[in-house]
Amino acid sequence: MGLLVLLLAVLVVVAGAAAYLKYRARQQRIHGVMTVAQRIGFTFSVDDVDHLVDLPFALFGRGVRQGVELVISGEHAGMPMRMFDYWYYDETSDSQGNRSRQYHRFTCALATIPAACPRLRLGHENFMTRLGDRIGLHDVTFEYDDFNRKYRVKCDDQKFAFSLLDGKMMQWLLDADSFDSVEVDGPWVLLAAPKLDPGKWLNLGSWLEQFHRQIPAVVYSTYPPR
Amino acid sequence: MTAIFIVAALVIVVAVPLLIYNRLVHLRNVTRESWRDIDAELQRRYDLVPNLVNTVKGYAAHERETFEAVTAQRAEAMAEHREPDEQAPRERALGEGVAQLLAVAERYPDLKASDQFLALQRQLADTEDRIQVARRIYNANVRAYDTLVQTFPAVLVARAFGFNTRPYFEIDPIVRGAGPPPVDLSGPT
Repeated sequence: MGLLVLLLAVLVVVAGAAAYLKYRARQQRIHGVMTVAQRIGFTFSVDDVDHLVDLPFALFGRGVRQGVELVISGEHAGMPMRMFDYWYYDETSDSQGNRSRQYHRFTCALATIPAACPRLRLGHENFMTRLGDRIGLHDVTFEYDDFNRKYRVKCDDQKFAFSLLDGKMMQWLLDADSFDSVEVDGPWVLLAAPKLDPGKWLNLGSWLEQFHRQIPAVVYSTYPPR
Repeated sequence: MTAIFIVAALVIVVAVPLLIYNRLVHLRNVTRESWRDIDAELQRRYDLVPNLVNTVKGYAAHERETFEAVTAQRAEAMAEHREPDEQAPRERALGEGVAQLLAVAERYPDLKASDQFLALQRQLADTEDRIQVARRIYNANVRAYDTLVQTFPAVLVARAFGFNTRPYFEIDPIVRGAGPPPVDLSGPT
């Protein structure tokens, strides 16, 4: 009986310590992001008050549940943008019916451009996507083989894909590979990277600003805002 | 067991060539459609040339030879619909003619600063960008089609049904497009 009580006590202490560490890590992250926001003159919000998670990006449709938090908004290098943490989780069940969750966490940068773009998603090629190619699930193929080998571009509008990804943009993307995915939809551009320390958020903002500078003029003339 | 072999043989002899044939037809139609898109963009270029000639003429009437040359090059390029490899040299000649016209304009500061000329230059830059996008799409589609036509086992079906490789289309832009317009941030809803 005494042993059982001791075991329970240990369990309670371990669970309490884990909860406390989790709470402290979150508070530290909130503080870190808030510090970055103050330093660069951005506004800060713990919650997703603008409902960014409802934007129509493929990344925001993944998993069973999704969330956006720690949102900072302002102008970086002359470009208005938002940066935030995004997570989603998948659920799996084993043969006994026990469910487990697997969380996926990202840091994202979001901006708008004066264009009405068709949906386009650019991510990295991997074993599964290459397998998909073999069975006929082709992505958009460009004239630059290095780019095709490294990236997978999904877009129903071939003209838009070729307008956005010209030679200069493809070369830049090959050189500036520090992201998980880029999505364009309507006026929105979303850049997602694996979850970053708050100190590195500015790099993400700079990357998005540089991406914007690479967008060819023909995108704006062919796909003007509605 | 024999029946399974017969079915498998039928699949190989009938279904596979049928699938390849449909794929060849699809890709051939896609390349034709992409060529028509280039044609539409080239038409925009043809439409701009007379305006450009008239605008430059207003400031540099004595450059008659340049005007006549570019007008003739335009007429030659527009004359008939040719295969891409035959059309490309004519488009390149027209491009060089337009480049010469722009070089003439460089010598006349009043012309360079005129609103009409600046607007035409912007339109020309945009048209050149569009032509390059259409050209890249066409060439990418030709590459996919030609690869299928030349590789085994599709080459057997291609030869049997007269699918031939398509030529690429190569022209350089006369002028490059301008940079992106300024960015705005609107709300998500």
